[in-house]
Amino acid sequence: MTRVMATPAARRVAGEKHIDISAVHGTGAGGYVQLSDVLNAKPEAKATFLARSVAEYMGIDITGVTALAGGVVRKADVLAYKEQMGEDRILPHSGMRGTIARRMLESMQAAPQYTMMMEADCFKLKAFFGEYSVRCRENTGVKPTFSDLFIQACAIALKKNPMINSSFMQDHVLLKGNVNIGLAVSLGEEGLIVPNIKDAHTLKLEQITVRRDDLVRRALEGKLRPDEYTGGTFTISNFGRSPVQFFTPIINQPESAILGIGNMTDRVVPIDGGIGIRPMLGMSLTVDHRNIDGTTGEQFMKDIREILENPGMLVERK
Amino acid sequence: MMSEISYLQAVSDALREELRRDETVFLLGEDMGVYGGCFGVTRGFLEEFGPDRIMDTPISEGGFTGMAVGAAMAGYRPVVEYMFSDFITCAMDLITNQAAKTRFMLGGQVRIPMVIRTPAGSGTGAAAQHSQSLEAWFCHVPGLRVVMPATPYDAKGLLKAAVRDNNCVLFYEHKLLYSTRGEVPEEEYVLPIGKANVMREGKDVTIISYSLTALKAMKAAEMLEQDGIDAEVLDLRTLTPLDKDAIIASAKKTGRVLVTHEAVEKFGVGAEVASVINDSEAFFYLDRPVRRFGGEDIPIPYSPRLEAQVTPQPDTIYTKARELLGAER
Repeated sequence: MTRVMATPAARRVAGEKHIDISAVHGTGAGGYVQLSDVLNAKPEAKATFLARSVAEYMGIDITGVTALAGGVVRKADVLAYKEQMGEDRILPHSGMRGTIARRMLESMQAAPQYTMMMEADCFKLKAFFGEYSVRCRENTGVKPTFSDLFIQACAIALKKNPMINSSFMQDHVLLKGNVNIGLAVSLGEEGLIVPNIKDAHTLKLEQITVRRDDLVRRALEGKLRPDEYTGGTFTISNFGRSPVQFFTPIINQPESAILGIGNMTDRVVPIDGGIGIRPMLGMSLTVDHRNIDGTTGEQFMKDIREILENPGMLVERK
Repeated sequence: MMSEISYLQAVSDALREELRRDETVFLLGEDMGVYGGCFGVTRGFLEEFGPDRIMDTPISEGGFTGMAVGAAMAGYRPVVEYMFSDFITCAMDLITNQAAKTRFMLGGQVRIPMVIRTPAGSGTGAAAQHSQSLEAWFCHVPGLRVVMPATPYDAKGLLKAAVRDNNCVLFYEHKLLYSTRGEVPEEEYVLPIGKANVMREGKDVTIISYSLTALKAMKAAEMLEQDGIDAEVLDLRTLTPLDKDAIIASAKKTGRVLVTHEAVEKFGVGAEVASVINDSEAFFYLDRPVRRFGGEDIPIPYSPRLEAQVTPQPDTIYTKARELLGAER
């Protein structure tokens, strides 16, 4: 313990006021504690022995605790202070958190990515979904979701835009022959997992619904097989049931693009020179600029939009 | 009723009043009678009191001091004057070995009620042998009292007390004080020996002094006031017995003490005052070390410019006080 440099007056008054002089900032020449420093120091509140013990046990500086009654700090005051102040906690990384962190960082470091945004009028799509929902449940017993429609739209559009369905390699771009569309499934704060629907380009819409339903359910149960969340060629991140319309998704490497689906909101839009209210879908496409330039990305989005605005295309023969 | 008179007049009045009051009082020294004293303190005394009570002596401080000691033993109350306090060295044996000790060595069978008055200090261009402040020597001797008033009021009241005191009292009058003026009661009064006086109340720093330097301290306090510093000035008035209570009280009040005097700083009154504070509960009130500011460790120079530089002046006392307060401001 270092000896505190303090004037006799400062020591005397510190003792009288029960101030720890080693905690007082000295302003005298060379930093010694003088009387004015002690007088300006915040006096330590009177506290019960129990309150001091509790504070010490909890690692709380009792000088910060305010006494509620009688000018004496009691145990209840210390506990109330702790409740009020909150505290830092250590949350060890889960295996999943570590993986997400590593992969997200790798993606941002590996790829110069940018995001473009577009809206699609889902007036027809909603009607289509209603009809499809009834039909699909009759045929398969599975309740479809809008995600199924987006997956199918992407599967069709990716076949027309192979550069979006690719991987940028060291000395070449690998255009993938198959379309394996991943769907990000949120597991709450724990993280997320991206199972993918293999060969989506070969599947009918009802098949996609059945596959999607199975994968998502097992993803939530933690029962996916490793090959079901690896080998994707494109990813959809669906924020649909949230107030978010646009965002900037991060590419799931080694893929080259990811489509973020935002909400579908009724908006006032011009229709054939008039005004109408239409459910507008927010779409955010993040692409790797190493191999995907603006026009390529834009074309892909336009194709997606065309499909969504003309949903009959979702069920045409591939 | 008060009237404003000079310090010299106050000393003169005190002597005259005591001469009139008590027939055992008489004065002796060089050129006191016919000449009226080197500074004129006893002018007219010879005519009023006659040569038996106003005695011109040969130039022999040792001789007439011994004579005074004997007269005191015989029941008189002699008041000795030295032209310059520097000459006190010639009477050293009589003061320290005879006047201070005889009463004790004879078991109280005799008393030595005598006063030694003498002009002291520098500032007159009188050089090293006529400008000294040697009071500390006598403060060190048991059996002696040393009084050094700064104002006409104190000079009169304390000189009358010294004449009536039953011990040998050294009564120092600073030469530059003679022309200073102050209010003095017209009626009879006596001041107690051994009591200091707070000349100026303050809370930030105490300047302890005595004699002429106390007046300089007052000027320094006015300068400090311009800076927003509230200085207390404590005039000791008596060096021995020292008013420890007053020193301690003021030190406790301000926590910062500067002791200043014209006498050489080393081994001086300042050191004694600092020790009084250190040895008391006032120590625990100190927010700065007690500082001394006395005369330089050299003989007083003849050159007036140099002379002023070797002793405390108002501006240098002010500077020392600011240094003492230091980082606080």
